[in-house]
Amino acid sequence: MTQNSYQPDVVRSVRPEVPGPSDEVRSTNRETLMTLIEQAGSSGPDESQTGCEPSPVLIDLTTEPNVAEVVATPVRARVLAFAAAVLVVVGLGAIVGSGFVAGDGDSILSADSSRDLNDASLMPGDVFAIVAQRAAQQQPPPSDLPVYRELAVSLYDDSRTEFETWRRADGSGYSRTIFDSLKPEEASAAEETATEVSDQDPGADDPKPLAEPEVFHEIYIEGDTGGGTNHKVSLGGEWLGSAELAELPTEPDELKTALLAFEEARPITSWSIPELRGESGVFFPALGLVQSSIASPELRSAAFMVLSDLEGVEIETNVKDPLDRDAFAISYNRPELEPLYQASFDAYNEELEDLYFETYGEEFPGGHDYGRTSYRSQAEVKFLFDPDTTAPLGAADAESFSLITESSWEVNVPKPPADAKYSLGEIYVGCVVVDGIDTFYDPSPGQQPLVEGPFDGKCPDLESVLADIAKAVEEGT
Amino acid sequence: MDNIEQLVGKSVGSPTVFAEVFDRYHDQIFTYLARRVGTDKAGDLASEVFTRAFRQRETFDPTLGAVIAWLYGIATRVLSEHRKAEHRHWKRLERVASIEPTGSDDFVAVDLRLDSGAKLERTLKHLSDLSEDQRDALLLVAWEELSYQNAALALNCPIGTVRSRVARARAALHEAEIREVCSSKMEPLANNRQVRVVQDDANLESGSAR
Repeated sequence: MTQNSYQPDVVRSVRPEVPGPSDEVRSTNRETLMTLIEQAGSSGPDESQTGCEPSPVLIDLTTEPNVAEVVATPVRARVLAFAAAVLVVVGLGAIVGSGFVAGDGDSILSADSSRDLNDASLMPGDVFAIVAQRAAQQQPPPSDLPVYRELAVSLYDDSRTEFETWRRADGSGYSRTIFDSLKPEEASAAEETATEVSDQDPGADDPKPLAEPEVFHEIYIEGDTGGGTNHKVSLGGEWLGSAELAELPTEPDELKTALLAFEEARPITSWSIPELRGESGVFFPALGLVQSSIASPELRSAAFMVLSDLEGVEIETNVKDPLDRDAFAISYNRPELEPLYQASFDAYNEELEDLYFETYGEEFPGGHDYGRTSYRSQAEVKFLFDPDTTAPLGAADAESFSLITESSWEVNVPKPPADAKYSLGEIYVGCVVVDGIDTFYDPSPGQQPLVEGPFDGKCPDLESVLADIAKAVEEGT
Repeated sequence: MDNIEQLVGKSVGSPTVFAEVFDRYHDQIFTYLARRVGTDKAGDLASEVFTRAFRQRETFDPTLGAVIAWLYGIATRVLSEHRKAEHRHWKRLERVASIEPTGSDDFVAVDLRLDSGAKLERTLKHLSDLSEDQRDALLLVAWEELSYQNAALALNCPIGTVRSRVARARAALHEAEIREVCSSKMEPLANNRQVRVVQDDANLESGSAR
């Protein structure tokens, strides 16, 4: 008899031993719950708890990511097993429109939009169609923050990404990101087949991602590292804002000594590269200073000098970037590092195919990581800069992920764009099933999801839902 | 004195008693979530589990099973809404399985670590390749040590379904292991890439590469 090597004990043997929650986490979570309990207590007994009817389940869509307000009214069509179609308007402004949206969008039926969806009593088994339309006006970020702009083009699929960051002196702030396509959450069968072709050695030509409908998305993120755009500089594992950077010496030798001290203090992690400690470890921190928008010109200049003095670093002038623009290059070539940087790249999933890598970056609508995946295929790395402004130009060759086509920062006080918005894209369509405990969301074919869900097929085809609802409304049922 | 199942029912009219459910089970649910998505996200998700549980407390039926199973069920549904975070965590686990800290700078030592962690890494990878339903069932039974009955309550499905999901999960893992072992014996040198570490933390943190 064949021994099954995956008896529960084997699976249990790989159970991660994790520490329990910290006192702070436990206390915070308890406080959150107690606040809820107090609110429930002050509102009196919940009358829905009595009686034999199924208890209403309230869907609080306002807690979903990027949904600022939900205004809608469900209309029951029980005979069809569908409860309602609702219009969800996202944003802080007025309602853009409301009503049932059927089929091709030409037949818009009227509906009472006076009630908040959260007031609706959604019964187990109810199915709701949801249409989220274009975002309403969103209050722009504070305008007293200097702005850093950057426009990047992916050399894999020519998609464009535009970053604008309003930052505070400590490096925190807002980032505004506009990007022109979303990658598929999960590859289709055809894509999976095509992806297999890309499973080849590093350096080989991977197929480009399949074309996505070009849809522009725009989102604001606030974070303590400049909204995720790394406007703080990491030295020795610490994130430094402009106030801390201002204390660094601007004389190259002194700066190098300071950077070495930071690197010596850097904790050793399981994936630290031994060869990148000591003087070699100064390269990336110094490069970070050179590329930083919050380092002073004097500090950036000193960092340039530190870089040029490092073993393995070469400065090339009169080079061209992939757009044939004038540039100078800082390259770093350490042959002994070569094995450490070999990796293959899955252009479809934007993830390395090997396990020793994780994508990182902002979460965009649909839950996609986008535009922050980086990799090295060679020991030599090269970074390009504008010779006039010393602004980063990004990629030196087509193997790099993105090419910065514009970048600049200002020390005065620019105004953010007046049309700043939260936007979930053009239109999101899907339906929600209330099953008594939880909600499930399925997107309509060809649409991006508003809310991620298990996508377990619990929603019927949206077109038929909408058609049936339209029929039910027409018949007055 | 009320047992914990009775307390949930009692909390419908007297919400404050629900705090005892939190005190008793928060850490256990946190640990479950931490195994699935990592400790950094587990705190927020645990909070979500208990706020949902409180809002849905009237749906708990003590005749069907234990409170802890009901909480595991809510936690599993919360996890399903954060499957991308879980996916990232699994990848991180797989990487950690391959690259253990040793304090040595010797590449040979690195290779040995990779070999010793390979089986662990494979197991984790195969677990992550299971369907969500199968993985949920298997891990509730194998990692959280729930009985099949409580796992059925947690997953809101019949006990027979849980049994079959666990069985199918085990079979899939077994098959994947056999396939991998056979493949490695037939093509021992097929993959000559020596990918050890792709991204140094200094580069990650500095954000110097996009």
